[in-house]
Amino acid sequence: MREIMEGSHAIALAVKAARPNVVAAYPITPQTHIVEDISQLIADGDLDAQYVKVESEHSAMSVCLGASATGARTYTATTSQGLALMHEVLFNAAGMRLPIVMTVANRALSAPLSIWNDHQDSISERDSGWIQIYAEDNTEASDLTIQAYRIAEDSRIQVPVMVCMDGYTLTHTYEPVELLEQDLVDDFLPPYRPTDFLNVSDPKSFGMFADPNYYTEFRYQNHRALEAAKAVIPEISSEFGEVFDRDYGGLIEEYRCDDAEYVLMAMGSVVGTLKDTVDDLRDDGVRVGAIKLRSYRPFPVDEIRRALAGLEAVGILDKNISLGFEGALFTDVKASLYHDDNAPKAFGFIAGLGGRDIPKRTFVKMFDYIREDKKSSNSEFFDLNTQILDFQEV
Amino acid sequence: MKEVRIHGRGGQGSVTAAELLAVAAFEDGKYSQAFPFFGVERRGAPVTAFTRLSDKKIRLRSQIYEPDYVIVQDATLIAAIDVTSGLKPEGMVIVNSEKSPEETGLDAGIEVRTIDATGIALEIIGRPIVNTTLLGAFAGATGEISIESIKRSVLARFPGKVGELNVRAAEKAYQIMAATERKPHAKAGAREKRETHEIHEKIGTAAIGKPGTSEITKTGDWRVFYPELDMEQCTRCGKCLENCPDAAIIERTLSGHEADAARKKAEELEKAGKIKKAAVKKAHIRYELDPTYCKGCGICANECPIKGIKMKLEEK
Ligand code: SF4
Ligand code: SF4
Repeated sequence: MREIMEGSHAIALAVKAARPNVVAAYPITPQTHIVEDISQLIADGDLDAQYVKVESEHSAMSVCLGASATGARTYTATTSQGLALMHEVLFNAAGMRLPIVMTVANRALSAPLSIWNDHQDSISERDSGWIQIYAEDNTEASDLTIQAYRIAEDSRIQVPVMVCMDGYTLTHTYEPVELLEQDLVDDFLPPYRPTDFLNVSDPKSFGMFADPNYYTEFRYQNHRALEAAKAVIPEISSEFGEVFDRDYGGLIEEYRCDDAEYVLMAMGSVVGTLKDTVDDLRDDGVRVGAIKLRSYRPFPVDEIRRALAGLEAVGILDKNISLGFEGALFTDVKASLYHDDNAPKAFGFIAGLGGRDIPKRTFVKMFDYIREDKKSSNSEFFDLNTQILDFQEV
Repeated sequence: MKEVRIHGRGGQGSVTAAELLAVAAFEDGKYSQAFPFFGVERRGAPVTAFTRLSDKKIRLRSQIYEPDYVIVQDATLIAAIDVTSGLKPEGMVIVNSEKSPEETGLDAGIEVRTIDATGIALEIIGRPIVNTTLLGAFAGATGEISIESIKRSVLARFPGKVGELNVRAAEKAYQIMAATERKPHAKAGAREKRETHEIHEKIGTAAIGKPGTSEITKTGDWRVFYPELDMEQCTRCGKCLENCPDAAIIERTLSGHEADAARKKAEELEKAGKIKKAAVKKAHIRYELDPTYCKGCGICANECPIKGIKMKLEEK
């Protein structure tokens, strides 16, 4: 069943279908419609959950942490500055192995103040120990919300999950969304029943102190859990595919890569525009393809190595930048290829920051760029308006 | 795939129009996508919204640069922005205007259709809400979408009486447009292409800008409604002035003969029982509108404790 609705509403309905017990969130553009719709569902009695009003995102994540430790299924959503304010608690939630699910309505970070989309907010939480999966459209974002609970609560891993969807570009867009039938969701996602939880009749301590004899081992286990998620994410995705007839593949999606010589790689909603560009160029006989990176953490090293083997060149779009170095994806892709003798040339592009639109012609220019015989270097800023710069070369 | 760009002003429901169009297309069995030009929405400010219609799933996410159709909800925008930017040679522009297509000032190489949507909306809905009327006009002029689906999507969004009236306005616009044949302009595509990118000023290094940006931005251009202050009933409480986001209400203190005359008049009115005592004391203080900056948001009218401010439709 398909219905047309705003992306944010689709997420609210997916959250409802997941039957969380506790929702705690603080409103921030462009996440607002999601949590407004959820609080309405709760107020109308359509979702039996407790909505905790909080005074900041730090508190929102703290409430989720506490609630999750009692064995409640919890949900929150945020973006940009709000996610940055959660920073400290994110690490705690991951270290305590609490399966919280959060929607990140991706938006740029200040200053300068921008309410528009890029990926700097979630990329900057790369090392928090959360799984990060990026959605291409609203159906995928909605489906991922359900899968995220299965992944997070999987007893083999037990890690929190961020479902990243582009702010405005997805959250505020009306488009047809495949609905999640409640009975199917209930079968696919049974209630959360952790073995360890805060319980007065069986007391335990959560988030304990670890001296130097133990800390490293805890971190190792946490790391192994993220690594293990590389098998769990595709497994749950295909199980979801069997039930709902929509399988998004695993950690990456390859689009017309079979006989491709040149490939561009990106994350999030811009991949749709990229796929259309690939079709256009293919019609002109150019052998190009696209790779959609779905899981940013854990990073799919093996899949990327396999997908890129034998290509002439790959271009990596980063809607983020690690200032003073380059785009985060670009770094990770190059690191993945380091031991490969037949690795393609790799080029990094910084574009789409702070809501700068990426039309098809930008991707065409990127394909042109990687098809020229250039040497790879650090990321290039693409679509930069050099006329307005006030920059002094040192 | 067909791409539609809607130009309006904040408060005219451009984004709603884009969404209703997408919903209607979906009702017609098509794939569709609607989204605003993401920005800070302010009443009266120019707003752009987009709709894509297609028989196939829509993956494209960029803004619309080469639309097949443009809907202009407010003819004053034609002078302010390049509404036909990138329009396809065989494309069409639908303008809300009582004028003829030739009088809109748009390029002669473009097929322009006009409809007095404001007139129709005022007549049927009783308010100058033009978005649904223009959707009816779009259905009639382009045939891209059925009027039945437009009606269904309007009723789903606005149930009850309001929806019924909007549907009637849409229907009327549909009939008018459908009665005239489409005549793609002979010179279609002949017009020159204007630069679509905005020219930005040079930036500093640390996002530090010039002061006084609110002085430069003439928010008065955005106005569709203006507040009319009833200075006889006004108690000079100052609420309108304090709450105006653009400091568009100015306090003026009368002196000498002018002040005496104002006081005298107020005292007479009070004696006649027409106004309250509170309105007399400060009769020499006047609140006046600064038309350069009043954007017509209506906050003052909302805040006035004696409901002494009425929002009136601006005569264009
Ligand atoms: S309508 Fe009233 S509040 Fe709004 S800008 Fe004009 S004077 Fe100010
Ligand atoms: S809010 Fe109303 S009563 Fe108060 S000063 Fe303004 S117009 Fe007068």
